[in-house]
Amino acid sequence: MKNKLKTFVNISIVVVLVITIHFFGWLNPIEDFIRDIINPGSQKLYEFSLKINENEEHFSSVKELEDAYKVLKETENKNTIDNIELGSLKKENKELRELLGFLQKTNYTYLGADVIGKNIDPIGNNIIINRGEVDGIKKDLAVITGPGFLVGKIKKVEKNSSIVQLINDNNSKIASTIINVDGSLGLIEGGYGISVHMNYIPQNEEVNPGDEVITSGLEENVPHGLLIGTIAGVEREPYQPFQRAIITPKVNLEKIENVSILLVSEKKDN
Amino acid sequence: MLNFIFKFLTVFFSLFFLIALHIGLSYILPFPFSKINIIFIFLIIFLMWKDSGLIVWISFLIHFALELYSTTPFGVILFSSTISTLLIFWLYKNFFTNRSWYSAMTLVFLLSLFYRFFYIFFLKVIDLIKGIDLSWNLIYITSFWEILLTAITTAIIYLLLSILIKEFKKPEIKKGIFKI
Repeated sequence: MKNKLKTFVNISIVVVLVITIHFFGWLNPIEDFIRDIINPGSQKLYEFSLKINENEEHFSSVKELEDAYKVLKETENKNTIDNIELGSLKKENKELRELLGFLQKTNYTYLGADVIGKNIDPIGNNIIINRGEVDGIKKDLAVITGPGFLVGKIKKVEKNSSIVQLINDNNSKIASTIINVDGSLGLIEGGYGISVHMNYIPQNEEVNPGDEVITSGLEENVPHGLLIGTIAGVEREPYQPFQRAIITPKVNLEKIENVSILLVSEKKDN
Repeated sequence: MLNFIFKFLTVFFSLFFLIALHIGLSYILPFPFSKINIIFIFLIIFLMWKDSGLIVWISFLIHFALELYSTTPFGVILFSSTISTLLIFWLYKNFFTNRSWYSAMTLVFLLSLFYRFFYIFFLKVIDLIKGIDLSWNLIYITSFWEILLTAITTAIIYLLLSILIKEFKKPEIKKGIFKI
């Protein structure tokens, strides 16, 4: 028993020591080395998972599944692997063009990044990107995809990679505004599965399903006008000072491949 | 010397492969199967195969690497996993001494249970000290699926291994206080 206690204490000391050294930053070279090894593998696995999940469908009946199978068989005969690869490249190209188009139009200073993984921990919805401190990434910068769709903010920065907190993360809070007559202000909050909620909308303002929601620009690093999503429903209780809107994000947050980080929130002068 | 380098590289690439497998399956498999903890399965199978306390340090190294990709405050995963593995090693040495699928399943079940217990405990402490906004329900649901599916998967893998590898057929390895 004495030996066991000794072992327990010794191992605890080692773990606590490692944690302490980590906070002093003395383990950075080792940590960066581990990341450098794991990141490429993680990126390949993430891309592979996206390809697999892209083909995932849900059927409400066996008949529907059978029909889909027949269609799939026919398609399979017609298509070759080259076509699949071409389709994938076209999609990526379209996304990048959309992104580039938005960024050229708005003239933000930005940095492109590939998504190399996502969190495997149960406490949040985050993705990992292949840009870090050496690329000038800083905490709380806005991260977008497609034609200016906000997907999240930088939460943690490492040397060569960063963690992006998605807008549906439990801790995510984004100052936003609705494109309606009142220009209603509110706070987009995650933690509700695939949708997000916009809270603190004044009760007396008219909010309707279908209205678009954009960033309000009230936050230091998140510029005004980035699209977040569309209102799917409104919850209004007469005795409450505020109403709440359920927002469907513009982007499928489970399938993000490329993003851009807005390094400077202000628009550059032309 | 050459032997040492060879062993070192084997361990290094094995750990890397294991981490890649764990991360990869969590990306590819749909929920709740994405929550199967491949690392815990490996640790228990390795323990029952090699009968070695090395698993505590293997667990430490793997979770150190995984901690780098986590948004949990640094140390929570590392401490919870290492201490849980140590407890399981002692339980294996003194209580659950049979080499059987149900023994493997029980050990993985307890390892996952201890790990999530410590994990939630430390998060609660941090929450009390500096306040972190977490979806506790999500953590409980995820933990439930992780513990359940990891235990079932271990039993299946162990059964398959016992067909293929002689070592896993040996019913008993030593005397313990209890046997299951």
